[in-house]
Amino acid sequence: MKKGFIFNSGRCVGCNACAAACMLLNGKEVRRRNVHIYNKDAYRHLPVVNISMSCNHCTDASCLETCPVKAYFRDKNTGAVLLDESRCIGCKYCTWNCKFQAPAFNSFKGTIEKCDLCADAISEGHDPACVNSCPTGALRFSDLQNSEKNRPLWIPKEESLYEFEGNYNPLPTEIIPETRFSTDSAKKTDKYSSSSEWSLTLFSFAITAAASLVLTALIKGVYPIGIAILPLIAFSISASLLHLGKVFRSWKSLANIRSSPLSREIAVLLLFSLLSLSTVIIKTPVLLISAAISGILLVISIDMVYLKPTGNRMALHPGQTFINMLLLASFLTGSPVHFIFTGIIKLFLGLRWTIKNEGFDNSGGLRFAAIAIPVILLAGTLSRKVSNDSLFMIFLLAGILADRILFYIDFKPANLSWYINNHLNLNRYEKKRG
Amino acid sequence: MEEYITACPRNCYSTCTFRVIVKDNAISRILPYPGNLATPEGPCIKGLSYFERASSPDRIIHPLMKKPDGSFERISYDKALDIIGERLIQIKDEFGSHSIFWYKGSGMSGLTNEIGSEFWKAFGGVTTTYGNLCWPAGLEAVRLTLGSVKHNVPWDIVNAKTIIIWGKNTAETNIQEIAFIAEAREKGCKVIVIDPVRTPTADKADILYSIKPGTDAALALAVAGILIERNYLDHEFIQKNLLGFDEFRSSLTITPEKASEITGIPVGNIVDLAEIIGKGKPLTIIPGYGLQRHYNGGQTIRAILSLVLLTGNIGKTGSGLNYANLQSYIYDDPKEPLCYYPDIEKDKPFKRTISMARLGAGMLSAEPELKAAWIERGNPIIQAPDSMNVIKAFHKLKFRVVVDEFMTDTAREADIILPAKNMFEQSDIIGSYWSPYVQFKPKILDPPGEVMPETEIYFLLAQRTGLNTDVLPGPGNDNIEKWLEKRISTVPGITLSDLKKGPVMPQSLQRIAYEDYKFDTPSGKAELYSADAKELWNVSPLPEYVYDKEERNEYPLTLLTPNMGSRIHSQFGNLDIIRNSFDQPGARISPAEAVKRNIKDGNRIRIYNDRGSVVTTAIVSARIPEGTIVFPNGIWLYEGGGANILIEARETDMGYGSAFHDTMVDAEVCTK
Repeated sequence: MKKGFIFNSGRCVGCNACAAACMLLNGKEVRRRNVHIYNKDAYRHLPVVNISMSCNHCTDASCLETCPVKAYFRDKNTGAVLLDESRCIGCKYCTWNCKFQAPAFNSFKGTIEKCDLCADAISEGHDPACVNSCPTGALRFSDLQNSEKNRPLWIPKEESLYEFEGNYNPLPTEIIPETRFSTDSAKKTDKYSSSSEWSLTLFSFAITAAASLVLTALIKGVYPIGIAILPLIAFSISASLLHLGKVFRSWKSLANIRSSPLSREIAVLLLFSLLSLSTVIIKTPVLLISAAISGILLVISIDMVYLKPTGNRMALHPGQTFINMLLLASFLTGSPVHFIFTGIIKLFLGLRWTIKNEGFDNSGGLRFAAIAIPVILLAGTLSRKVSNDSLFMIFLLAGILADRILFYIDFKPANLSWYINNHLNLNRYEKKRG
Repeated sequence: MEEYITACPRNCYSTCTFRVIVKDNAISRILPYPGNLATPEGPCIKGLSYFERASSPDRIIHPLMKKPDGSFERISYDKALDIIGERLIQIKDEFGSHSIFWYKGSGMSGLTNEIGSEFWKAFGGVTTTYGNLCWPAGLEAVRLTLGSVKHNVPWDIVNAKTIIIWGKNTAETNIQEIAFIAEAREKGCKVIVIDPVRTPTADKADILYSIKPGTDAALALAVAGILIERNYLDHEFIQKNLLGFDEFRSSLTITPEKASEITGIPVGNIVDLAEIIGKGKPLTIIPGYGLQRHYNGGQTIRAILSLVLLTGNIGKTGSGLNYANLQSYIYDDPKEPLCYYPDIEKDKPFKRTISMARLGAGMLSAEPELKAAWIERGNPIIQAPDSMNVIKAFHKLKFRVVVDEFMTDTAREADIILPAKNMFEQSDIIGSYWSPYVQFKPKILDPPGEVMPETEIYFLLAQRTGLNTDVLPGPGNDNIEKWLEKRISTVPGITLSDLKKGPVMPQSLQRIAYEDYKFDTPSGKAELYSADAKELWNVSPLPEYVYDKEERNEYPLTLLTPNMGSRIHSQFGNLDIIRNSFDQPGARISPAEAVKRNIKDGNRIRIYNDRGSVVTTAIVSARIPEGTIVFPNGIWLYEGGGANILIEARETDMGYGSAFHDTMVDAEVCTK
């Protein structure tokens, strides 16, 4: 029988001793273990749920599956998912894909760190440091039962080295007299933000432009000019490298084409760069067609990178590189029908996203711009013929950039908070109480 | 690499035993010690933080002297001792030794603290304090009623069917007890928390009674009335072992309706509480220290005690009133709370004339006038009520010595700061006021820099000032262990070598307190009616609810100033590991009160009353009931603390405690 973390939320008071013990052992720069407190402000309808979690060492581990350099591996003896920090390139893709915030980026080291189940201690028969330091016995290291009974509703159904015991679905404390505590509805939940990823914004923006230029060249039947393509590709590759914690290990990132969307993206990026630069020198139609196709594949593969971490939520975002490329290419080819068609789709997606998700409450200016610019451009296109007017072009690029920035603002990888906050549903508890 | 067993000497219930792995004179791991049955899972985050605290770069490791511009400079130990010796002798010659004030806080427990008394006795005596800031009203209440202060061993609580945590935030202040409460609850025990605030402890309870601060006695007495009326009584216990039942019954005037008006708890829920208490045997009530830091604190604890006495929930497994368990304080004579009282003092050299609760005013009006102060193990500038008066009293002195590990708000007021030892740098013996163990705390690290234990500072100072050093142990840890060995020989049954093996339970321990129904009171019974209460404290001999509202001013918010899980009073908040693990503390206020004042979460706010004002950060939290603002004690002034600036210096009804929680304030957004 495998041993793993057994956690009793009923005994956890959120004291942080487990996380502190981990930091004292592994350094204070990153938190390999977190104590999540849900409903910290204790709105009276809801129970307060404390969860101490580091890595669950999932059987179906998304970090291991999606790591472009195969830095993750599974320890045969303990079942632990371990990270070879010397392979890690610091791309942070695992932090997007793990729902439990287990991998953490150490900006001092430029690599990811994560729970190693205190492998050394375990091999000597000791408990991990966090377990050792839990003063209430809420966190234990013991044989796993793997029973469905112990799976909270908000924990995805996958076998892992983490199990709940006791009552994980508590009723809220009955409060007397109720009116003495505020009855405000639950506060907006804390959202995990991937922080603004400037290098990625610029990378994907430049790729959009480059792929559009190549596609336009194909449609127009001319060969791309080196002076337009070369800097864009050089710029986008350097921007993508800037995103990495360990630039000099980036060559390893093709290692996991089989299962990592990021590896695939990088492979297609290299292919596109090679083909499109070749067309500048060797002007044959086969090359140009291949370059244009690889450009389309590249923008699609960029979009694919963001699908898994968000549970496909970003698929209909107006800032997707694919739709941006279509819009730009239709403009560059001077085809008003295509431009208006793509523009209307983008406008529709933008309005839908704004209404459905964020409203104008945060990044309002940007969101307004992202919607206003297509409206202006569409109006402009309808009132007069599309021309290569440079003002028009600047407007269009500004609109695409605004949407791309919003894409990264809206990009919020699924995490534990989502599951728990959905679980701590106000109405459900109201009903339960009658 | 060596491994030691040690115990945490902080002013805390748990007094955890833990193992320390030492490598190259530094701590490399802190691990639990399961042999202590009260703390088998090990220490809290503060205990773990010793890893950092022992070698913190912020530690004071050399003597410091204040320069005229207010900053400090390093001076040699010789020079520091020369100056201190010279100034003390000079002040003693000119104004008498009682113009020197000796203040000792609760920062570090241990028998070696007594060595300071020997020094000051030899010096000719000093002025010192009486009373205690923490818990004496409740101690005295229990002592008056039961004759001694003890309860069942902590782990016995798993046998309770009902647990009432009354004004204690166990989850933050005694976290190891949560393990036993959780175990009881897993076995079907009903857990009730009575507290104005929805604390993390309340999150673990079935029911929270959110009571108005200071009105607990009214609730208890109303419940007592219902218990009597519905005959939920242990008649045998009452007849044989309880004094004053009839007087108590006829004194009960608080009906559930009246109590509801006072406490804010609906009548039906008060009746429910009585039913739960009446039916849910065995019952353990765990009062905290917060609810006795009201003016009526002693009588409140006596009123709550009546509930366990009427129902016979005492002397049995799973039952009792777990206020404090002084059974491991076998070397103390007299025991708390008696040793806090001014008239008990047998040592003539000490003039105990300054009330802890009124420290500033007491220092300012002391006779003879105070000229110098020696502060150790304490941070009175921010921990004593009415801080502005305390600061004023410090400024009035001619000479101040502070012995501390860190640059606290009090250390900043010093003329000379001497570095203090930490818990790993000298052997000592400590008891606990919750668990039943006497524990040895070995010396396991050599102090950094020029740090030396207080005992050695006193020894060197005695040499320098020409005092008789025979009464003091000489330098070196061997001498301290010899002194300890001799010191504990007064109590048979425990030797130093026993203690060195691990925590020891004293022979006199009752695992189930009062199981023999012997009460060390004048009548030999548990005294609901206590003639001593009237005689010593001029309160009713029976528990009663008194709350003199006229002395409270017109401000609308009751200020509560509890302890935080991240600190012990003013200790630990300066460590990185604590700062990394907790949000910066501030004042918590309910959303409704915040809206009234246009306060938003994170705003800088000014809390004020007639005594002064404090600027801090607002935390708008639905945990806080309306009419209340919660601003923890122990936050340093520079980080936006200092609740005591606002708090009235007032003693509790008994025991010379401090009524911290009766202060009224208001709050507003800081415009600057």
